[in-house]
Parts: sequence; structure tokens; C-alpha cells
Amino acid sequence: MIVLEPQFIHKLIDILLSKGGNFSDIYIEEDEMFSFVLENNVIKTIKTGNEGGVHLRVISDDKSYCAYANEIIPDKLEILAGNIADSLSAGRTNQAKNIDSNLNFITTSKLHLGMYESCIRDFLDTSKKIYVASPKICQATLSFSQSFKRIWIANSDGLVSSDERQYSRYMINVVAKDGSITETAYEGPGITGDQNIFDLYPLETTSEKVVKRVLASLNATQAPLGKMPVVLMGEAGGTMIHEACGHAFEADFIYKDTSIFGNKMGQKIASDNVTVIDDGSIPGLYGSFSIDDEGVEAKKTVLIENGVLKGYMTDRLSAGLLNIPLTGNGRRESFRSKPIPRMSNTFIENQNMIPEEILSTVSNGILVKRMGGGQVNITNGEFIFEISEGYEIKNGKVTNQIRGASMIGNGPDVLNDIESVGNDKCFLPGVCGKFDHVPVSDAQPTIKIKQMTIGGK
Amino acid sequence: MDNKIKNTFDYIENELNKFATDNWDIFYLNDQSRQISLRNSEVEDFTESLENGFAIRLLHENRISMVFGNNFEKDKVLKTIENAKFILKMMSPDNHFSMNKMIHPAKLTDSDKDWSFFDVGISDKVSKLKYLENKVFSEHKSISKVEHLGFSESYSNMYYRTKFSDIHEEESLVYGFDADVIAEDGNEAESGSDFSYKLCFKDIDLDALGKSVAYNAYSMLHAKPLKSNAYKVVFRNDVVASFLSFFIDLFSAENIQNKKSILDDKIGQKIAASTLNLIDDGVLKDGLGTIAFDGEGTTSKATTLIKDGVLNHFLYNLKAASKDNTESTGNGLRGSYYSIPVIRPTNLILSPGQYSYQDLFSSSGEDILIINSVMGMHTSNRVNGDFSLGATGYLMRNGELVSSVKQFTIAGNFIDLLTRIAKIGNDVESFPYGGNILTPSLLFNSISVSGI
Repeated sequence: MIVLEPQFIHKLIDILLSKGGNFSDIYIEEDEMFSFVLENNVIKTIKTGNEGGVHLRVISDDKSYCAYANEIIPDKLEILAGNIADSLSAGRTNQAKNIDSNLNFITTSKLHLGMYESCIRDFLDTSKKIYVASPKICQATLSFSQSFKRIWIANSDGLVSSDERQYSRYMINVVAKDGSITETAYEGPGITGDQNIFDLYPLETTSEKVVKRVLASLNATQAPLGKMPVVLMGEAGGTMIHEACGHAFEADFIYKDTSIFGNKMGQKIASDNVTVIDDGSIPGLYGSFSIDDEGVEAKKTVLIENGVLKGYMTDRLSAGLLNIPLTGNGRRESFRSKPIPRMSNTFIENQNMIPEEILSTVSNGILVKRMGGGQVNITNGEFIFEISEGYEIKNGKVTNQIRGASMIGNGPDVLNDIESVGNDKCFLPGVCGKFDHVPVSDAQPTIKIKQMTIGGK
Repeated sequence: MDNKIKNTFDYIENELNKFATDNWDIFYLNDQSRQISLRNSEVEDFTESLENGFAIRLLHENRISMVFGNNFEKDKVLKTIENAKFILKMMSPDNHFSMNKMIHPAKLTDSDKDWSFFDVGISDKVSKLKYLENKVFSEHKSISKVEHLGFSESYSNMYYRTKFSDIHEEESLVYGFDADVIAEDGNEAESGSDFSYKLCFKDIDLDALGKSVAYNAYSMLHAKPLKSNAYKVVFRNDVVASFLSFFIDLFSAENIQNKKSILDDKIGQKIAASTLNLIDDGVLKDGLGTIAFDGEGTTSKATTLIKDGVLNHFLYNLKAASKDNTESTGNGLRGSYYSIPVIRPTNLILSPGQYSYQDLFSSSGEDILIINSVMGMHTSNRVNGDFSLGATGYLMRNGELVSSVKQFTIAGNFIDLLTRIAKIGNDVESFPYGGNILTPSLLFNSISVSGI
């Protein structure tokens, strides 16, 4: 156990603020991880390790001065703090408010390799079952990772806080081949907290789902191209709401005036039936936490209510600059980065329609049951998403499966083009790569979008 | 070598030799970096970093294990070694797991490390950024904002040894600038970005960078949707680089062995236009990806992947080489101390042709589409080479710009693309996209485009 005493924290913060700055904080992290990968029915790799470090920061108006090191050595921290102070143009001196508690780092290991032996056996069994499910299956890759992360935060406002986070995730990726056609499918459930991920998402159910999807996709036909109505199913997850709209509600983009939703507070920006929420406090979801990486409690933030823009997601820096509330969205991947506004669990709220009712209104369109990856241009809102499982809709009925299709559109346009919203939202985990990588989840119920461009081969 | 590093190696060696292993290796990384970013002529962000970390791998009775850490307290290191022993027991045996015994670093012809700018004061670095900022704004009246303007310098020192070898050391020092700007006109806003990373500070041309980043933004204003059609298409060199960086996995021997690449069985066959040569060169003079030995201690060298359009060889690490009964090509690379060595390119070179960039789109009588950016590359299929991407670019007629174009997709197959290369440019640039990619722009025969 390492203890940084109040006097030392105080001294460090005083050094950080000795040549200017309005605020400073110290973030310390310890991480233990375990992961393995199975391929061709054998264990390809098992990896375990620990790492940790400290991040020091001074905020001066809208500027940040930082340093990080991956060892917690008091002398070294003082030198780094001095370097940061020196990089500020000499100005007024600031001092820390009273800090009256210790930062205690209890670094006893939570990770015991013995607990993974049966898990590896289960994965090997599952892998074998996948390969025998069909002669068309030519490759199955299964992986599992778990990490235990502990963070400690102290800042010049006198806050001392800490959090423990446990992440579990596994992935199953299957490749199937039929003649010249090769298709892949994957599932990747992920949770936070100490529940057993296999109780919530049994390995067998997940692998059966992937096998079924990859085999079905071998029979898919070319997608029709052009503009048409698109129905996104609830089970497709909320990748689009995260990527195509969510980032534009992050307050750093608002401050820098690069978001399409800047200066639109209180204005109508989406259809009446659209309510969008970010909520880091929902237990167990992959994007959840009790405090964010600046020590602010996770909470529910309404971004759009019945089509009207209601709020932005903030970290301390952007909340201060814009004089808007702290929302607990100051997040970072590790001690290597400073926190910035990031989404947690982001979703379109349920309405009343049942998915079948929505489908019945489409005479000619595309149904998306599973989204693939995508990319968004934040400046103009244009995006592309891959459709990894999609079908043609004809006269309200789901018909043949399509392959190799992608949808392109514009985030703000889509918000206005949402015609109907269902009642079946479903969270899927993901990793957001805005700057560094943080775990998130997103969801939406079944929605119908008036029209989008479908591209493909 | 730093005493602390020497002591860490000695301590770990001592502990590892207390039990039986066929071989082991220790990888130690020491990184130092500084990053400065500028906004509205002021420093917006300053970050300094110091990192040390190690990884240990054990090889015994056809099993291999890897552990890592950055806590150098003796009891933590000991626990890490215990974990390595435990994992060894859990692993599936495979007689292709292997490690080098001795290390023979390649003799490099690199210039001396350029320390000239590393230790100068922050204000000098900031003034270079201000120079770049001025340059960007002076390029075009529509440039309205600089989203990000960054300088970085990173130094890293890697130490590596096996059970039987001495400790070998590899150093690298890279300087870079990157910029992201916005051009506005009326209600339209477009962003543009570019970067320049060099081993020598004086090789960074800030005027050229300012010019190209501004151009990437303002040239896209008032872009029009493109009509669906088949076009002759030029991929600008940065677009070619993002394709090569993504699809290089098709040339990984491990993927070939696992039936995860359509290039399986194609050695000796013509897979590309006969003007195409693709080489991975780990010993390229002053290359950003140049190394004396890889993350498994294998001597670095040059490997020809495609020779005159014919598939010649794949990229190997030790395990894949053992399976194919051949030698590793020195492509088992570690991203950091916590990364397992994986097959990646060092300096991947698409050999230049005879045409200037302008030559590629200047033939008369037909429309030629230049692609200057693609979106969604990571959604492409690394196994069969299929891609479907959002794209933007310029529509050219008789070598003149008709208009910039956006909101269209290009779809196809990477290997099929290689057969459609009509002309290879000579405008080679270096792109550090997870491995250093050196490539010119390319002209392709007919590619179908889906727009309005």
C-alpha cells in the first residue's frame, strides 16, 4: 500500500499552481488485466499484467498543461509538476484549498489466475462446437478479457475521491465460406461490475447466435442501391445515435464552436418523438461508472427531449468555460490522457409503437438488424455505416437478406427524418475512439428513417 | 545503460534462471515524449510523459507465455514471474512456438539521431506552431478555424535479450506536426487535415504542410453530389496508404495459415498489374519504421511481397515461419511493452512509377475522379479484401477541376483493384499508419461509384 499524505498532495498542487492556472488535479490509476484468445480450437495467447501511473494537470482558462508518468515516485512527481508550472507563462500564483484526507492506494491484487482455468475450458468446448456446427464454418476466434481498475483523484478544490471498476467482455467471431462467398459475424457482450458475464450472456447462447447469423448471411443477395426508407431494429444497438449525433452534444465541441448543435439550446432539432439521453449511472452497462475520471458523480443527462435540445455533456473544463452544469462525462482511457467530455450509455428513449407496426408502414425499404462499424465527419455530420445484417422490406414484409451494403447519411438530417420510434431499446457495448478509447454502450428502440442512401457493391 | 534498467534485467534474469525453461526473453521500453497543441495563437495543451515498462515471455516444452508490468518493486516483479509460470501451464502446446537464441542486429545506414530540437525550450516549439498557424490562415480566405495544431516529439529506447543473448538496444526519435482546420463559406463547413512526421527536424516543411492542410479543407467547399457511374479513378497517395495499411493483413503469413486471407495458394501467381512492386524494407535508410531487429529479436531485412505483379512472399514472425519451414522476415513487432509481437509491416514501399501526380489525371476527353479521402476503412473485410467506403474527391476533365464531389461510395475488392492499376505516380510520401507506408498516387481503370 502506498499512502500519499495530505501534506504531499497539497505540496504537489501548490507546485502545479505556482506559476498560474485556475485549477489542478492529480489522477492516479492502477490496472490489472487478463485476456486470452482462442483460434483453430487452441489457445493462441494468454496475457496478463499490471500497469498504472499518474496524470497531473493544470487548467488555466481554456488551456491544459499536463504530464504523466507510469511510476508513482514522489520526487519524480515534484519534478514533473515543476515542469508543468514552468510551461505556463508566468502569472499569478494559486493555491490549493484544504485537503484533509489521505490518498490511500490499496494495491492488493484482485486478479488470481486460478479463476480463469474453467473459463478457458468452457471456451475450448464452445470453439469445438462452433466448428462442428457446419462444414461451411472455416474459422472461429474467441477471446475474453477482464480488467480491474482503481482510480484516485485529488484536486485543488479539496476533493479527494476514488472508484473501483471491473470490466468483463468476450467476443466470438466466426468466418463461413460457401464457394466464393466468405462472410463473418460476431457478438461481443460486455459488462461492468462484479456479476459473472456468463450468467448474463451465456457462452452457448451467444455462440449459437453468431453461427446462425454467419450461415444465414451466406444466402444473402446484393442490396438495392439508392435512396430509400430504412428501419433500424432495436437489437441493432445505438451505434448511429452515438456516432452520428452523440458527439455533437459533447461540450468541448460546443465550446470550440465545431458542433452542428452549438447555439441551438432550446431549439427543435429532431422529430417530436425523439428523446435522447446519456446516463452513466445505470448499473452494469459497459459505459457505467460511479464517478467519472474527474471525481464527478455519474448521472442521467437529457440531451434531446421530444425533439428539443436540452443539454450537453461536460467535463470540468468545458462546464466551467460554458457556465453549464457538470454532467459526469469527464472520461479518459488511462493516466496517459487528460479527461475530455465523452459519452457513457447513450440512447434514444422508448416510445409506444411495436416494431411490427413500424415495419408495416414501409412498402419498399431496408431493415437493419445488425450494424457494423462506421465513421463520421464531425464538422458536417456526414456518416457511413456498414450493415452487417440487413434485409429488404417489401410491402411491409421482411424478405431476402442483403450483403455488402452500407448506409450513408447526415446526423442532423436523420434526427429530423425519424418518422416512428418503437418500444424495444436494447443496449450493446462498444468502445468509443474519440481521442483515446473508453468503454461505452448505446441503444435505440426500432426506428424508421424517412430515407437514407444505401451503397454497396 | 541506465543502472536501474541494468538492475532490472539482472534481477529478472536471476529469478528466471531459478527454474527450468527452454528459453525466455525480456523486453524493456523507456519512452519520453512531449506534445504541444496550439489554438488561437496560444498553447491549448501541453503534455510531457515518462514511461517505463517490461514484458517477460517464457518458452518451455512447446508452450509460451507473456506477462507485463511497470511496477519495478521486487515483490511485484516476482508476482509477475509467478503469473508467467502459471500461464505456461494453461497454454495449449504447439511445437511452432519459438524464440531466437542469439540476436544479430542488422547494420543500419541511418543518419545520426537528430537531437537538435529535442532539448530546445518550449517557446521555440510554440513559435514553430504559430508559424504554421499563420501559414494555414494565409492560404485561403475561407479558413475560419484551426481545430487542432500539434507538435510532438517522442524518444523511445528499447532493450531486449533472450536467455542466451546479451542485452541489445534500439533507439528512436521522431518529430511531428499535425493539423486539422476548418474552412467555411456561407452555411457550408468542411474540415481538412494533414501531418508530417520526420526523424530529422529540418526535414519538416511547415510551408508545404500549411498549404496542404488548408487545401484539403477549402477545396471541399461547395462539393457536389456525384452521379453513379463507372469512372477512371485516381487514389491520392494518402488514400493508397490507408488501403495498404488496412489490407497488409492479407500478406500476413499467420492469416494465410489460418485461411484468413484470399492470397492463400497464390504464391507465384500474377495478382496485380505487372508494373506493381511491393516491398517491406526494415532496413530502409532513415525510414520511420526502420529497425535493427524486431520485437522477437529477429534481424531486420527487406522482403519483396509483390514482384512485377506476381505474389512473391509473405510477412513472417517466428511462429508462422516455423509452420512454413522458412525464416522469419523480421516482422514480429511490438507496439509497446504490453503488446504481444504481431505481424506488421516495417517500411512498406509501393515502388514509384514514372508519372507525376498531374499526369495521372490529365488525359483528355474523359472524366477522371480523384479520391482525396475515404470513410469507414475499418469496416472493410480483411479476409477477402472487400470494401465499401464513403468517399470525397475532385472530378477532373481534361486535367481541369470540374468540381469537388462528396456523398458517394466506392466499393470493390482490394486485390481486384491491384489488377486495375493503369498508372503509378512518382509522388511518394511516407505515412505512419501503424507501420510506415511509402507510396505514390495511383490511377485505376474503371471503378464503379454509387452516388445520386
